[in-house]
Amino acid sequence: MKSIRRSLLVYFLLLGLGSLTAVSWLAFRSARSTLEEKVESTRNLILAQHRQHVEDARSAFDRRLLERARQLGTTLSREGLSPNESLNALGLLGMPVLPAGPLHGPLWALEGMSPWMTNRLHRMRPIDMFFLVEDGAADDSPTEYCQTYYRSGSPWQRSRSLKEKWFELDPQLREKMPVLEERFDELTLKNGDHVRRVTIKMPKTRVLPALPWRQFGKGLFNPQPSNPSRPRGEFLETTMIFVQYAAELRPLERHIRHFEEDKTSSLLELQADTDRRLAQLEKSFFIIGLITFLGLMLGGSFLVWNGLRPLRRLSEAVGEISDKDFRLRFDDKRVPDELKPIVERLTTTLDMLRQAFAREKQATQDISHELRTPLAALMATLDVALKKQRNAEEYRELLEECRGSADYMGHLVERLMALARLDAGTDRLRMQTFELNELGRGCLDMIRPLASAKGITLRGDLDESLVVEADADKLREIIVNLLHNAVEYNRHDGTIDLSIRSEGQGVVLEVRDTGIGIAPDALPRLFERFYRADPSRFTETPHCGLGLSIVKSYVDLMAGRVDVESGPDGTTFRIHLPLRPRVEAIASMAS
Amino acid sequence: MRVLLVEDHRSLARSLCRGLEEEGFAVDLAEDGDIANQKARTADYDVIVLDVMLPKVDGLTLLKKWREDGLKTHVLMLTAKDSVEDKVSGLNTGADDYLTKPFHLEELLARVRALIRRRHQAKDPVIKVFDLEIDTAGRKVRRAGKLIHLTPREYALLELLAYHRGQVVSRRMVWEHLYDEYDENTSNVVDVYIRYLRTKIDKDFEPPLILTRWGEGYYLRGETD
Repeated sequence: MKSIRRSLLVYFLLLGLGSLTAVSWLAFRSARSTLEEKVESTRNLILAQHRQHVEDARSAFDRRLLERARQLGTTLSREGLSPNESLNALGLLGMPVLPAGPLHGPLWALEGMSPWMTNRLHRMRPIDMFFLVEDGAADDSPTEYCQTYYRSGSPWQRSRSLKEKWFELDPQLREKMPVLEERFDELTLKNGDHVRRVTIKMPKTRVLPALPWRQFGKGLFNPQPSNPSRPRGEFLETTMIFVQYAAELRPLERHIRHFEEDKTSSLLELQADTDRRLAQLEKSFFIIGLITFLGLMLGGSFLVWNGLRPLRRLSEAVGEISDKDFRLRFDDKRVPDELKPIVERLTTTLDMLRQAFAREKQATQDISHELRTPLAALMATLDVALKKQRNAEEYRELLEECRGSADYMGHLVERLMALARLDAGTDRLRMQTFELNELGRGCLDMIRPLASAKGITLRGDLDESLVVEADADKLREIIVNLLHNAVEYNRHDGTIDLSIRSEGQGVVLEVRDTGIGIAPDALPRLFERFYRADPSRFTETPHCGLGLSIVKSYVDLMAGRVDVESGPDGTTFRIHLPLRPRVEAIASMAS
Repeated sequence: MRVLLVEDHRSLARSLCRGLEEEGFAVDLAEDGDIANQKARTADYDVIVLDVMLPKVDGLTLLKKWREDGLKTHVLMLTAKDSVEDKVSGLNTGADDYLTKPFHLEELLARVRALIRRRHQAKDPVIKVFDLEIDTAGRKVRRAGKLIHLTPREYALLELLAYHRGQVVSRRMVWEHLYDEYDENTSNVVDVYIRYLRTKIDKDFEPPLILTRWGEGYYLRGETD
């Protein structure tokens, strides 16, 4: 990514988005599970309530059944049950008796029974059983059925008219059922009514008249042992009454169905509520997430913007750098640590660049300056020559003048080229083996005419047996330049000493003059190009402030060192060169 | 007209000297600032041609000192530097003109002549004295429309008289302005040149323009004479 700001922002947002998503997801999950737990408990509550309702309804139903059965049973067992009483008892229960109409006895109540039959039954004392049917009048009051037995047996089993209302009594149950217990069961009547029935077994004691035919039936009816207090002939008969009381289950079922519906609707409502709340939760999480994300984006942008401010300022400061002004306008105190190396490096580099540019500019100026004066001389001489007709002698003189100027310029260009080659690094040392003292002598010879013109004595202290492998041309250039300078800045009738000797691991060249010396403040700049202690010193010989510069460059190229000592009575240039004297060469020469 | 040339580059100095002398100028040469200072203060030069880079004392310092001391001689600066700042600093110091090396000799001569005219408040390069016309730019002299050939020295003398028209020019003045420091001072050389001039200018024409004031010197006839 190209922009730091953008990438930082993107990373920041990605990080923020990731953590936001994770946090939201966790929070959402926990919120959802809490909600689900709550919903679950609510559901359980609803279900429990429902169960409770159903149970309550059932037990109420059962209780009522039992209560009625007991009431009936109690009535039947306490009273010598007469049909009327029974009816009264029943009447107390507020039950209409069907079929409606006058009843002479319980058996009358039997539906569809002929008077004859009833009479017959009536005679068959004691009454073994009677049977009542009650129809529910209102919707919510169930049709109830009750049936009692006195004795075992099923004399009306054959009765078709009762067929549909008959409760089978399980013979085993009848025998084994404990007294005063109740049994609940459900059964479907033959008329299709689904009913719940309670069966209770109650003891019934009654006094029976002492009838002879009754005697023999005594055992049959399992009579109680006769009470001695009772009149003779009478006996107490204890028998079991089975009261069966049933009620149609439809209303209960309706109730239960109703509860069921209630439960279902509650559950549905709960579900809907849960869904709604979940949706709300999601929505709120989404909105919170969105807001947080926007906040992150804004905050992140601001943070990144703020964090990158020093960089921006640096970039502005760098942008202000122009070829006219190399300064980095950047407040050092406000530089963050991370940018310090850059700023320092940049400042240093710019400083170097500025100096290099200044040097370059100075050099260009110097070069143009150095070239302009001889060019002006050349042109002036040519103009003079062309101004009028002259004789041959005059032309010759002027042409020689021109030649001198051209030579000067040529020499200057040569030196500039040499420096340029050195700068470009294309100048290489061309090694050859030679005798150093020969070279020194040649240099002295070269400079002698110039020296004697100023009355200067040249002296050479040359080590006779010094053969080295080096670049002779450059070495000659070095020595000649130094000698030239020595002549140039020497006083009249002074001396110049050239000494070449081997010293330690290398060779030392020394040029000592008896001139006025170099000012101490000029010493550090001595080897700069075009530098002259005396700013303008045009002489006949081309000497333009490049000599020492070239000397220094050549010595550097040879990995040597230049030392200068200067005092009021002379200057000494000492050059150390790591040139190894070639001993084998000396030996061969000696042989 | 006498010119002080201050230039340390010997080849250039030699050529300029020669060029100026062949144009009839009397040229004194100074090779460094000290000598230039001495010479400028001892002789009345018409123009000083001053190089900026000089040994000992550089041109600008020299010029500044001269102007501070009230030396009013017109100065033409010569320099190898051609940047605007250099020119401005030169002119601000009190230089009257500025010439960048390298230059053509003709340009230098023209500028020197222009500076001389400026000294004498003469804007028109042609000086007219009755029917005598002196073209200071082309160095041509006509009388009554007829071209008269003069040697450089004769011309210089005539020009000097013309610039001081109506005023007596003493022999000493002639000497100072027409001869350089190395010329031998012989008392009658001025008279000899005056005679040559009279032969060329006055002999065939009327009225005579070169007049003599006995005991003082010579003068060119003014409007009122």
